[in-house]
Amino acid sequence: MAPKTKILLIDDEDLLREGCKRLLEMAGYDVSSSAFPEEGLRWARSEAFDIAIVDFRMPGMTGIELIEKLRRVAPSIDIVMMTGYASIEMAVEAMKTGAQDYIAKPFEADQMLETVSRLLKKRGHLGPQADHNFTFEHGGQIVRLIGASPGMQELFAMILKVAPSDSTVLIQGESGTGKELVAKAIHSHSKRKNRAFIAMDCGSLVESLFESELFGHVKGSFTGATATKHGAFELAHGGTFFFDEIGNISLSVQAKILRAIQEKQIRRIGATQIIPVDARVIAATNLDLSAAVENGRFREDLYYRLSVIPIHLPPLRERRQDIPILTDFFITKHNQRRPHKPIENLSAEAAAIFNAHDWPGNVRELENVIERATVIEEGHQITVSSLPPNLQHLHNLEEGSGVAKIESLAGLEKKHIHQVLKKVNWNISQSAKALGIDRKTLYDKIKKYGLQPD
Amino acid sequence: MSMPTMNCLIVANPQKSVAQELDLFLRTHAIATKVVEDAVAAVQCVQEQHFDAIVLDARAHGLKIEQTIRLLKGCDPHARIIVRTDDNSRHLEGRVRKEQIFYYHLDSFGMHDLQLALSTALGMQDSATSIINHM
Repeated sequence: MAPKTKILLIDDEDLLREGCKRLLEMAGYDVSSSAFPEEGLRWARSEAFDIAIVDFRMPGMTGIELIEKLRRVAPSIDIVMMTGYASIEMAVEAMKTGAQDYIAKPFEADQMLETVSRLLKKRGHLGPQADHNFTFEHGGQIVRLIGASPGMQELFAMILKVAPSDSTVLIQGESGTGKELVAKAIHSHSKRKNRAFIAMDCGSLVESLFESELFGHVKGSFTGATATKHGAFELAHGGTFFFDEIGNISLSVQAKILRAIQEKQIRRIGATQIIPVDARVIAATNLDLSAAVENGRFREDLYYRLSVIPIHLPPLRERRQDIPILTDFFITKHNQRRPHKPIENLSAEAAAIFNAHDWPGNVRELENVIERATVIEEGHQITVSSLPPNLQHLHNLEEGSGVAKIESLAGLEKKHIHQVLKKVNWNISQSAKALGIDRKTLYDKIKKYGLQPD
Repeated sequence: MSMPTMNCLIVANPQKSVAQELDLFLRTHAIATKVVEDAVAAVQCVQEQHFDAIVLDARAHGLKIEQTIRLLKGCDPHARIIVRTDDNSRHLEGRVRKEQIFYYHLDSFGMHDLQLALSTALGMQDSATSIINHM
């Protein structure tokens, strides 16, 4: 196993330092942190760190002085300077002194992780790969698919299996399950990874604009000159083209897409010239495309052309064991906005709600709920009161007797019959009439549920 | 209760005339607009306020176009970004499209296309239909 990447973090702001340390450790790095520049320098003399992240303003020594000293004691270390006083001059000064990168406070968790991964990439390695993460580099950023569940582990294996081929892939899954991330993961593990990954949301534009965006357009300008829009598909030549929400396109555009995939060539709108395009196609949809084919809303030939390799993304409710891992990840991510009072965990009630909720919006919904809670929560725990009303409702359903315990139909029937009987002083005829059942059925139910007058 | 206001940020450099025309079009449709001169000012605006759509000049001063898009998306992942240019090249279009924008517009294609894309980005269905009918 490769040794962990070692990071030295020096910042006198305790909360920010601890938040960064936790973030980087969760990402799998080995972090040594100190509030004191001299202590950091001492460590750098005796240990080999890959990266040092240092604050610009600290008592006793400026960031620039620290960078100069670090550079002398550990010439191979990469240095990132953090500062709350962002200015181009300071960045230039830090770079002149020997810092490799610069990050302005306040920053997002992603920015910090991206900065670290960028430096690691330059050093020739990608960093850690935790067991439950599928981590890859895309467009200069580190991207993570998270999940320890069997469904996600199978997905990770599938990505690695299909990535090297040029076959079309159809990713099906509900909204918020991470279809685009999977497409990027496939691209990033393919031989096309150094070429373009171009994505288009098929449902966002009106048809006339969509076609021009996709295939390009040659149009005479008002001066009589010809302007050319190359189009997204052509620009994916050599790389990967991702059709997001492919189920939303019209039948006429479907025909053109089919031709482009089959013949590996396109013609810009208004042009006569044919342009060869070698792009791997990945498509995604949250619809049941086979049903759309049966209904005549999606071309059968295009469906089969796209679904050479079908990948199904499991909804979050089918991989509940991933909820705690994802929750931790998103709490750390969104804690960056509240370094003064980081969220540590969920209250027991909130955790039970997270486990009971069906998450129709999947991972995206989970992240939104956590982001919301980190904004409004005043304590160190996400509590029920900082959850959206639809989740709080789960708590209210069975408050005091187990969160979100859904009552059975029989239980509800028993309660309802008892209430009706009480209301009419156990008059069986009136109760049966109110309940819409005959007297015999009511007697049977009274006996079945063991109901008695109070 | 008043209707929520849609916001649009327009980065004007160097084609101020396009910005003025768009500004007028959006104000006619009761969309709040803000016009700034360069990419850095655009990023600062988006750090302070949510914009539903951003019309960005591909050659806006201050930052490279791909950096600008990344920073804008980092500040507000939900904003729909339209990039426009009066001087296209395959290289420029490729760099921009890698950043996954909402729409790429060439000025010589005319204001109608840009207005239609912007109407769609802002969910102005009536305006989009009206533009399509007049095309």
